Amino acid sequence: MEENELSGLLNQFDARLSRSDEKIQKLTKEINFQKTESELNKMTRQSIFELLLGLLVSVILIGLMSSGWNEPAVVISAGLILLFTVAALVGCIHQLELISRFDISKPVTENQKVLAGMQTHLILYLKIAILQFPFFLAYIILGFWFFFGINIWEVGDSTWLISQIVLGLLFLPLSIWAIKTISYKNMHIKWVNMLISGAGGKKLTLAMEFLKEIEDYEKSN
Amino acid sequence: MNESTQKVFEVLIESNRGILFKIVNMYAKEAEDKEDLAQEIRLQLWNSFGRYNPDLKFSTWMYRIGLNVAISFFRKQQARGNRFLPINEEPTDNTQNEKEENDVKLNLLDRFISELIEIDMALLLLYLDKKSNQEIAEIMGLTTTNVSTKISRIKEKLKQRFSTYKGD
Repeated sequence: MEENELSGLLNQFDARLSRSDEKIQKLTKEINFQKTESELNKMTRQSIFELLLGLLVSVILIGLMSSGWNEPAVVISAGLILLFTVAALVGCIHQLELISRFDISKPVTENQKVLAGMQTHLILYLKIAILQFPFFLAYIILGFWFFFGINIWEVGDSTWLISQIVLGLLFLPLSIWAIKTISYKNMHIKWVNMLISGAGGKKLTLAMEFLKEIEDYEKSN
Repeated sequence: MNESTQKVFEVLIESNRGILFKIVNMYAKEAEDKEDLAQEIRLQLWNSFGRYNPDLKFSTWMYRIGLNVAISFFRKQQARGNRFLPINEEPTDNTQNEKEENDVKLNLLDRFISELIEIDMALLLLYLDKKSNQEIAEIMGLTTTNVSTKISRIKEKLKQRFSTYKGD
């Protein structure tokens, strides 16, 4: 196709874009507040819910720590999980802060990057979950304490306990490598894509891909 | 906001409503989607009007908000699998007259544009509205050199799409 022909078609396309029907004209003159719920409102609601949930888990963990105050294994286990919960809470507060500072009148690429970043917030929880994996023994200790009032660290078979610790230590480098690899930059890696899609569905996958797209867009010239 | 502010807002929107139509028609094709998008843009414009900085041209400010809302809307539709595919997309045949052939090409162009990434669509929209590279850069957050390179690439991509199209 020649340049002239494309220009002609683009001009016609522009005229087509300028067309408007009566309904749209009417809508540009009024606002239906009920109908519209912005993505930001949804994100705010979700973050507040996550914040409350995190606070509830923290309270339970602090309760467990105080109930097992004389049992160092219980206190350390609850403290470890509390540490991860606090990290999630910090992420949540950061998300709420980003939402409150968001200014929709900023340039398009800048804003779309921030928005896509906010939509990938779930990744933080995925990373925290993976990072916790080597410390699974803490969950076993707490579970026994919570449900049966037994300190498994004290009464458990020492060979079994040592094998759990060794297994956890073996998982540590794997976890660190995994959380470093989980990024929008690695969406082409099959397991990363599958994990992200499993954690947050198509919406999260698209947001991650979009982040990559914007970054490539800004880089290419 | 008081009544006089609201009036100023109404007047400014009315005198720039062409921007709204263009954005809505570019990013939404179904009537219901167009209505939803027009509403969402109008609401965001109203919510942000209190923070409008007069140093910025009103059309620049309006384009920024409109495009930001539209791109998010488009991506939401995409996530639901509602990506736009225009009607009448059959390739031309030799028996069609010139007018029909032009319409088919126009529909194809519509389709090829909808296949571009969201940000390229915004860039093309601004280019078609005859905005200067400087203003496009301000709206999009790109450099002016970047704008002209990207516009040339988009046009090249469209030309290529026409030449390789075999009714896929």
